[in-house]
Amino acid sequence: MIVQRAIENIGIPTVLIAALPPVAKQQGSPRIVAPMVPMGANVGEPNNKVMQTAILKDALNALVTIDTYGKVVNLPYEYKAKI
Amino acid sequence: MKLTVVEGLQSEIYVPITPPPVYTPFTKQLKDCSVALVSAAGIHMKSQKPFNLAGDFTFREIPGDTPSSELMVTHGGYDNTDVNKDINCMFPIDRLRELAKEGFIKAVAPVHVGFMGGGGNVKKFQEETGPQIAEVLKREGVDAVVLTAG
Repeated sequence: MIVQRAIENIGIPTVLIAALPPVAKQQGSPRIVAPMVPMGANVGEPNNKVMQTAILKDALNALVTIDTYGKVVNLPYEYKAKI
Repeated sequence: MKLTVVEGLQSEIYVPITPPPVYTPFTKQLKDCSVALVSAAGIHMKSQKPFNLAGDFTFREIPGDTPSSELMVTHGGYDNTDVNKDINCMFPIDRLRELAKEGFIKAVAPVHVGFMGGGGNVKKFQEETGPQIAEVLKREGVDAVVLTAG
């Protein structure tokens, strides 16, 4: 989130796809989307093109819809890693 | 109110401090944007120097036309199983290319960035690595950035 803040600070809008949104928010991330995913598969299930495309599209759309600092948008996609 | 305790007394429990807000409004349309990926997941090209698992504040520039088969992960802070199966789990470069092809965004940026997040030398990241990555993206005319981390 340090790097996200640096990019935002130089004038480029950013959105973070986070697996741990409360941590991201606490660390000062300006825009967050949060699918229900484990750390290490933030963009969704491996080789699941449909889920990955949906998460990436929703993340990009959040650039348009999030109108204020520090908002978290929960995304309706779930992947549980088998560990 | 008068202090009833010793002046300057501090809790011995460290609590995280949330930094002040930083926010750049999004003023363009997605279809007019060159979009870059920036990931803290330890992504780099197979031909580039891997990150030092003991701690590494350097970053790798990844050209926009790099095939996903040429990418790999070096990061000791999370389970790499899924990302080793499919790099798009953390670095959705193939998905981004598809979105550019269908016109959802204008273009895949000419450069993307990988680094190893999750702590390390926070001061270096704040004062050097972060601003350096931002400069690279600005130089390449990037309009918007999607990050994966945390």
